[in-house]
Amino acid sequence: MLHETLLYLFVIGIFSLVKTQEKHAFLFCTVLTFFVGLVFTFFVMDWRIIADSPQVFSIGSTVGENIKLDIISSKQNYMLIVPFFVTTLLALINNLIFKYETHKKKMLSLFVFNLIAFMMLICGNNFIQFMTFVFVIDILSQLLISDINAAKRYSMYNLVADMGIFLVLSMLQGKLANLDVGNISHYYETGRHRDFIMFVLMLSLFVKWGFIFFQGYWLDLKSAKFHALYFLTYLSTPMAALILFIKFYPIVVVSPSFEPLLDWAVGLSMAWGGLGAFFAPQIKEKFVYFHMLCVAFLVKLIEQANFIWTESFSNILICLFIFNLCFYYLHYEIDRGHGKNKKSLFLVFLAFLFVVIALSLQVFSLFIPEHALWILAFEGVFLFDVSQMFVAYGGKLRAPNEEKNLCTRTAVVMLGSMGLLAYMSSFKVAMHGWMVCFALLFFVLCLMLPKKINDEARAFYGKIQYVDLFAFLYDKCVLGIIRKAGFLAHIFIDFIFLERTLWPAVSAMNGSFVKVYRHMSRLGGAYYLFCTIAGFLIVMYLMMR
Amino acid sequence: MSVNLLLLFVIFLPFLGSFFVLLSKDGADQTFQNAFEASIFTVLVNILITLSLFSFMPLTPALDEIRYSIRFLPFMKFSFGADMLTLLFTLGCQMAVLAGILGIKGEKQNQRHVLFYTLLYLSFLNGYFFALDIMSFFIFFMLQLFPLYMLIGKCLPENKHMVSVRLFVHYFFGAMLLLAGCVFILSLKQDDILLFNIDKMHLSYRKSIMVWGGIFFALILRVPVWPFHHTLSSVCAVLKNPLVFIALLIMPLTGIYGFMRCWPLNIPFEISVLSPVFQALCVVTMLFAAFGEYANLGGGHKLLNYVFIYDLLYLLAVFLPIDTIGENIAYSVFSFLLISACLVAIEGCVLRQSAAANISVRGVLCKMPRAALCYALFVLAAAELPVSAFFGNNFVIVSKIFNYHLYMGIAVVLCMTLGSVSLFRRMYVLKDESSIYQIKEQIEDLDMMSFMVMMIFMAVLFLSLVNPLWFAVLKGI
Repeated sequence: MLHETLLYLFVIGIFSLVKTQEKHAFLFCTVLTFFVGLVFTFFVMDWRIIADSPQVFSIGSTVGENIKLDIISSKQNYMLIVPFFVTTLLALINNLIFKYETHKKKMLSLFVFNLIAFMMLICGNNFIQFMTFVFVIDILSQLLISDINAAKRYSMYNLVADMGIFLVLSMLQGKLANLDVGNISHYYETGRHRDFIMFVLMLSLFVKWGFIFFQGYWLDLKSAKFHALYFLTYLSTPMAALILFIKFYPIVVVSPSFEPLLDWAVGLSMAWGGLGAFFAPQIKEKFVYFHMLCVAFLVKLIEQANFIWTESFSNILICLFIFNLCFYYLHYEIDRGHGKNKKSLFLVFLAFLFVVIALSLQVFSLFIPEHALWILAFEGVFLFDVSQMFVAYGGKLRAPNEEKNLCTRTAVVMLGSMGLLAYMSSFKVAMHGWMVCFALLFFVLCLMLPKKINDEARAFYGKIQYVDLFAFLYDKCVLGIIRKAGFLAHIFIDFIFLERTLWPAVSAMNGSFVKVYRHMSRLGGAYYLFCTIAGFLIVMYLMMR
Repeated sequence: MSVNLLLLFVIFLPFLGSFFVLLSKDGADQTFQNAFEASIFTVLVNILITLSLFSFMPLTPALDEIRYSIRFLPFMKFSFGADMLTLLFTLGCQMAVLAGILGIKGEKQNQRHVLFYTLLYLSFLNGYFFALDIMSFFIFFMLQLFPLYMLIGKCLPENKHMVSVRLFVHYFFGAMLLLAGCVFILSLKQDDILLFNIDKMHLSYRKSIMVWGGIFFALILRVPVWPFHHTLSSVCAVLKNPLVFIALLIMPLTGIYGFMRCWPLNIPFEISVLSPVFQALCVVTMLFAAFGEYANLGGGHKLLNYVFIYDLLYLLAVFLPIDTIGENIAYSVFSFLLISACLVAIEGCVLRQSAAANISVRGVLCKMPRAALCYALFVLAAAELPVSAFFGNNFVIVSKIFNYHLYMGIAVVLCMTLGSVSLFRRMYVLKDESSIYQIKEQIEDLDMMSFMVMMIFMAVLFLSLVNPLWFAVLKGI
C-alpha cells in the first residue's frame, strides 16, 4: 500500500544522501533511479488491486488536538499520485542521461524527497499535514534556485501565500475544532465570512500558481537552469496549490464571488501568458509564460470537472511535462548546438509535434459544449504560440533555408493537424465549420505576420517588461507607506510622546518626590516615625475593608 | 532518587554552579575556559534532571502533579511543584541559556561574571517556575531582578547605564505591585496560599481590585505591551552580548507564565471592563513591532521585534476564555525559546566575526557554512515552518484567537507574516553571495560543539512535530 511505497522511497532518498566519490556518482544514481522505477511498478501493481474502501495508516497523535499524519490508500489518491510519480521518473531518467547536469545526485535526492512530499500531501487528511508538506515542497523547490535574488523573491511570495493558507485553515480549525479536511463542508453551518475565506485562499493559490500580477517571481527564474525550471513548473509549488485547490474546494465554491474571480483570473492569466509566450525574447521567459497559460487552463478544467481528478488530467500533466522537456532540448539544440545536428533537431521537432497532438487530444477528450470557449481559447493561443516559436527559431538558425523551412513546416503541420483534429473531435458538436475555418485562417495569418509588425510588438513587449508595475506599486504603496507610517509613529509616539514627554515627566515627578523626600528627611527621626505610622495605618485601613 | 529531591536540584544546582564559575581560575591568556566549561556542565546537568522529571508526568497533567513543601521558618513555608507547563517553561529557559552560553564562546573579553550572574538568574527563574504558593512566587519574582540588573550593567556601554536603571525601576515597580497584592492575599489566610487557589478566595470589591489589579500590573509590566515596551527595547537596542540578550528575552515570558499560573479563566469583573482596551493595546503593539521588524535593518532589532510579536501572541492567548490551550502555549513557548535563542546566538557570532574582520555582515554566512545551515533552519522554523512543534501549537493558538475575534486573528496572522518575511530578508542579506568578493579575511565558522548542540535542538523541534517531546514524556531519561 501507499505507506510501503513511501517507506521504499524514503529509504532511496536516504541512500541518495550518502556521500560517494565523483566517479561513482553516475553509477550510484543509475542504481537508485532503477530502484525508483521498481517502486513505481510495485505502486502500479498496488493500484490495480486496491479495494474500494480506503485503507488508513496513521502516525502518532497528540494529547490535546488531533494532530496526526495520515497515509490514506484509496483509488482516488493513487490516481492523483500517478502523474507526479511518472513525471518524477521522467525527470530522473533525464537527469541521468543529460550529460551537462553536474549535480546528478543532488537532483536525484531533491526529486525523490519532493515526490515523497507530494505523496504525503495527496494522501493526507489533516490540515497540519497539508501545511507541512506544502511548506516542505516550497523549501525543496527553493533549494534548486541558485540566484540569491530569485530565491529570495520566490520564497517571499510563497511564504506570504503559505501564511494566507495558514490564516484560512486556522479560521476553519477555530470554528470546527477538528483538523480533518472531511469536515470543512460543515464550516458554513456555524462559520461565516465565506467571501473572505474564498478570497484569501484563492489569492494564496494564485500566488503559488504564478497567475497574472504574481508572475514577477517566476520571471526572475529566467536566470535559473532549465533543469530547475521544469522541476519548478510541474513538480513543485503550482502543483501543490492545485492539490490544495482540489482538497479545499467545498469552502470556496459556496461563495458567489468564486466563479467570477476564477474566470477573470484564469482569463487574464491565459491572455497574458499567451501574449508573453509570443512576445518574450528569451526562451526561458517564453517557458514561464507557457507555464502561466497552461496552469491557468488546467485550473479552469479542474473546476469544470467538479474537482474530480480523472485519468485525462494525469495525461495532460504528463504531456505538459514532456512539452517542457522538449522545450529544454530545443533550447539545448539551438542555443548550444546552433542547430548543427539536423537529426537531433528533427527529432526534437517530431517529439514536440507528438506531444502537442497528444496534449490536444487529451484536452478535447474533456470537451463539454458549455465550456467550449475556454478550450478553444487555450488551444488557439497555445498552438499559435508554439508555431510562432518554431518560426522564430527557424529565423534564428544560422544554417539558413533548410532548417528554417523545417521549422516553418513543423509549425504548419502542427497547425493543420490541430485544425483537423479540432474539427474531427468533439468540437464539431458545438462549433460551426466557419469558426474552425476562421481559426485556421487566423493562424495562417499569424504565421505570415510581417517581420516589421513582429519586431514592433517585440520592442513594445520589451518596454513593458522594463516597467515592472507590480514592483513599482509594491514599493510605493506598501513599502513606502509602511516606512512613512513607521517613521511617523517612531517620531510622534516613541520619540515625542514617550522619550520627550512621558518619561521626562515621570522623571521630573520622580525628581520632585526625591527633593521633597530629602527635604523632609532632614527633619530627622520624627519624620521616619510619622511615615511608618501613616503607612501602617493605611495598610491596616485597607485590610480591614 | 526522590522526585522532590530532583525538584530542589533543578532549582539549586545553577545556584551552586554559579559559585563554581565565580571561583574558577582564568587561563593564562585571560580566557574564561574554566568558567565556560563549568557553566555548560551545570546547565547540561540541569537540563538532564529536568528531562528526567518528565517521566514522572502522567499523560493528563493536573496543576500540582509533583508537589513538595519546605518550611524554612515557623511562619514561612515554601511550596514547589511541577506539571507539564512548568517543565516546558523550565526546560525551554535552560536550553535557551545553553544556546546563549555557546553564543559567547568566541568573546575576547572575560565573561566570568556574566556566566556567574546568568546561572544565578537561571536558578531564580527555576524557583519562580516551580513556585506553587504565593510567597515563594513573589520571592523568586523579585529575586530575578538582581542578577538581571547586574548582567545588563556588566554588558552595557558606560554612557548607557541609565537605561538599565530605568529597566530595573520598571521591573521593581512591578514587583512592588505584586507585593501589595500578596500582602492583601496573605492578610486573609496566613499560610500556604497556592497560586491556583487565589481566584477561589472571597474578596470584597475593593480588595479584589487591589489583589487582581496588583497581580495584573505586576505581570503586565514584564510583557512588552505599549507603553511598557520602551524600557526593554531601549536596553536590548544597545546590548551586544547574546547571552544577556537571551536573559532579557526570557523576562516577558515570566510575566506570561505568571498569568498562566494565577490568572483565572474568567477575568475578575473588576478588571474585565479593561479587557477589550488591553487586547486592542496588545494588537496595536504587535502591529508596531511587526512594522518595526520589517522596517529595521539591524539583526538585533529584527529579532527583538520578532520576540515581541510572539510574546504578545502568547499574552493574547492566555487571556482567551478557553482552558484547553495552556499546553499548546507551553509547547509553543518551549519551541519559541529554542528558536529565538539559537537565532540570537548565531546572530551574535556573525556580528562578532564581521566586527573582527572589519567588514559588513552582508554575505558573511557564505563563509560560515555551519552557521548558515543552522541560521537557515532556525529562520525556517521561526517563520512557521510546519516541520516543528512551533507551528502545530501556534496553529491551534491562532485558530482559537480567530474563533474569539476575526479582526484580532487577522491582525495576528498579518504580524506573524511580517515577522517571518523580515527574518527571511535578514537571512538573505547574510547569505548574499554577491558580496562575497568583498570578504577577503578569514572568517571563523561556528564551532563544532555549538553546531552539534543547535542541530540537537533542531532535532528536538523536528521530532516534536506530531507529539511534542514524546520521547521525554513517555520514557524519561
